[in-house]
Amino acid sequence: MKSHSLTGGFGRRLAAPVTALLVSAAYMSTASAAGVTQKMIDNDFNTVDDVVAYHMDPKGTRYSKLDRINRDNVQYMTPAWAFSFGDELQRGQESQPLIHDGVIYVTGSYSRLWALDARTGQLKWSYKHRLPKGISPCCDVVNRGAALYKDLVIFGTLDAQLVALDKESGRPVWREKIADYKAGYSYTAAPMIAGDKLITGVSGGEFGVVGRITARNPETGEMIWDRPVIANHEGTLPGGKKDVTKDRKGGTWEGETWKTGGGATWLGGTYDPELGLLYMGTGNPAPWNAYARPGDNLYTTSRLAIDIETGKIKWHYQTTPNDHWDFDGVNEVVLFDMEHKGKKVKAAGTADRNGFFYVLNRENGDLLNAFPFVDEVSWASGIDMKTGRPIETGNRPGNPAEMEGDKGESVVARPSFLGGKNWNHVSYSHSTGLFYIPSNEWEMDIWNEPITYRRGSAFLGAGFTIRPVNENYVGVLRAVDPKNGKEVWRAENRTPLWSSVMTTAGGLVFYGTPEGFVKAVDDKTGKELWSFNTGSGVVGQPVTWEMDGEQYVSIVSGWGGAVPLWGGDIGPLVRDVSQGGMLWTFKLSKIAEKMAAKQQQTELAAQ
Amino acid sequence: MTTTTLSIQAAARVVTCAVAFFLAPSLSAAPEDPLKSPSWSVMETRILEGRDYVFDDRVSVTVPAVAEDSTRVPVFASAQGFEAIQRMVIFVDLNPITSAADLTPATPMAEMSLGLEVKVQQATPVRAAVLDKDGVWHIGGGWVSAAGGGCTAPSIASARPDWRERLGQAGGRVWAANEGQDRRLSFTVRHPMDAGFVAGLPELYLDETVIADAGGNPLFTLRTLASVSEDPNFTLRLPPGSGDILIRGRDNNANRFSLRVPSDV
Repeated sequence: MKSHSLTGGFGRRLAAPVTALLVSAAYMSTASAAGVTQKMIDNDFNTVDDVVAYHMDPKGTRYSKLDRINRDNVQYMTPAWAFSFGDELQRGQESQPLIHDGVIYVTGSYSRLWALDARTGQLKWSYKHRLPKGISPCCDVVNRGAALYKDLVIFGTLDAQLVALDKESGRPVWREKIADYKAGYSYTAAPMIAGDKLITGVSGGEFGVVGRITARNPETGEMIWDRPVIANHEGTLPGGKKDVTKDRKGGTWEGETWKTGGGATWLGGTYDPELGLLYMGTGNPAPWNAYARPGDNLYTTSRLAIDIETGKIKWHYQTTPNDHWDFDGVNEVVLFDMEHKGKKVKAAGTADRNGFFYVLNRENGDLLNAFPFVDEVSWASGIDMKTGRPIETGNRPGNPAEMEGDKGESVVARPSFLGGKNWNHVSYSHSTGLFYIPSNEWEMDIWNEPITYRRGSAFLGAGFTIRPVNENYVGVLRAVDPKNGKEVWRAENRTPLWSSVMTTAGGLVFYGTPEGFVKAVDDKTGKELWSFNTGSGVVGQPVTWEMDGEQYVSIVSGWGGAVPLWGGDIGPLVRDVSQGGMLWTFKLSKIAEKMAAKQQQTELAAQ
Repeated sequence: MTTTTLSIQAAARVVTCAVAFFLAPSLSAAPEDPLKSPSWSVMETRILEGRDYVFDDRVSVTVPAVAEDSTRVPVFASAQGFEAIQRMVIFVDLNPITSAADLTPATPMAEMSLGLEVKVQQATPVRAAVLDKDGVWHIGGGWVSAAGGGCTAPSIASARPDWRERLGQAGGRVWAANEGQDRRLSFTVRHPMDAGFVAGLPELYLDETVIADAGGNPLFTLRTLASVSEDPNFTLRLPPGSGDILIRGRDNNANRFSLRVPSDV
């Protein structure tokens, strides 16, 4: 362990030249050649011996080519080691680990990061960000992961800062402010490396913030371009020229409502290196009360394709125009290739909070297919394939201005504002051509209230309750065919699914449950083949890699996230879930495999 | 506050402490610690990095005999009559965080001094070691008697909701000392210097400060750990020169501060 404070020595990590602080790029590390390159990140899908990209793939598929662990032997998988995050900060572990050069980098709740020996789980170093009082994370104190670039590991903190740490020592090399936490901004996503740039969004969608996407030099933190995703706000082009984000349709915001328009870009993006396009979703408009902001409200609840070099919006697709239900459409855009009308198309699939799954042409944003992926959608009967717009059913909550008293008419809407799917990521399997969607079946009462904006305060103008629609389950892991919207199989779960999904060439689908289980199911049938109880709710993101000729699977465990905070009548279902904070790593048990082989021989001999 | 100056008699011989540490069955080969610290052998490796050392009364450390406040014990270390001092290290033998400060001049100096305040966890020797041109550590020190607990107490800042707004506020002055023979610099920085021993309060301390002349040429690098008291004050002797002093520093979370100290001497 290289953390020096307990031993009290001034180790070599502080032996920087005296001038280090005064050169212009202060705190620059002495870069080593053995770091992570953009090429390695772009190619992460093809290299099974590391995980250097979020989603294990810049295209967001969360699919691994590894098949050492497969349908036949997954039953012999056992823990290799586990690591406790410690402290008293045991909640909301939603992080994806990264693995490079025998080291795991994993973030945890309250803006902490650990570097561990991937073989043993032994701590190399840790970084614990000292948070100010008065941060305002809407949906728990989570962090979803870090980014690796050259010899840096970079992550964002709840006070909306970026910290770049030396990969070897954990010492900060640079630190930059993303936005002002006092105005309601925070940061929970994993930053992303694309086109040799560090890409970040912002969190804080419930606090009247304005969504933006920023590209920086990953080695210094210096801004390259900055793109507000709400029309009329001023951004910055490479070279420093100011550039206002245009309202393509014109007038999609009334008056000055765009000023506090929302559209938080809180979930990170995906990247197509060949097209040079970055794909990112934008969140709900603010406030929730849509009567306060008539119009489509561009570019909220949209998918944006952004030129990685200039930060300009190439195309957009809006899933919920003038959103009224907090259908916070940040959901990941998964890049895959699909046969469409006899042609191979560069496609993008995305499962929206609003209950619909969209297949887009990722070169131009054309809608190729759209279908509901939950059992029932109340607010729209479908998507008009010509215009790309939802066919609304009149399911909007009533206008409080038309009522006596403060509260508008309440409606029942489905899915609930926590979405047909929330942040937790889908996986696209290259083996089956199916999407595996961690979805939830729930509905809500929602009504509107008048609202005024106060800097840094919650900006909703709505009230709501949320409840399950079925007696026995909320969560449904679904295998869905993007070509026709057909549900191939489903696996129901008593509580909401809040963990990401991973598929492998071994025919397996991995995910976790709030009950504490990590599960592996058959990608063709959904049949459960393996499970392990981690002791606390699993809301993390599984990854897999190969080391010393063995396949490993890692996932964090630690209950939290938005469900226990916002989940209304879901609360009783998850009230007894224990909190935690552990990284679990699994591999095949050689003993179990040998014993099974022996058993088989004995049986054969007896025949 | 009553203070006493304790000078340590130079030991006669210089030995390789690695030999003393690993091989010597009797301690006669190593200079005997005049302060008789129970953990001196640990200091040999942890602080002195295995180099040769000597106890030397040209290095004086002024500390109070009894600490009135264990979170804030004034220390003044001074080294005079050397050829070319390359580093001055302040350490506290019996603290959980042993090192407090490590001051490196850009150009080795014949005389160096550093004043600061440190936390003490219990009664302990407080020492200064200077590395001379000969590559040998020259060490002075004194005992501080204390009620203790200075390192494991939470910072005052940690209880203030606005600590982050005040973080890194700094001020300082330069004056002529020694009848105009040399210039001294004093500066203070608002910082909690949390040691990480309190649950829910991760360690947060200034770890690197560069002191430069008006032209930006570095004069010193000062490395610090959380044994230095909250809202640190540093006083040090400047090398010959004139003009304002520029100070830039950072903590272990990469929070930064900077300061320009005007000088009319």
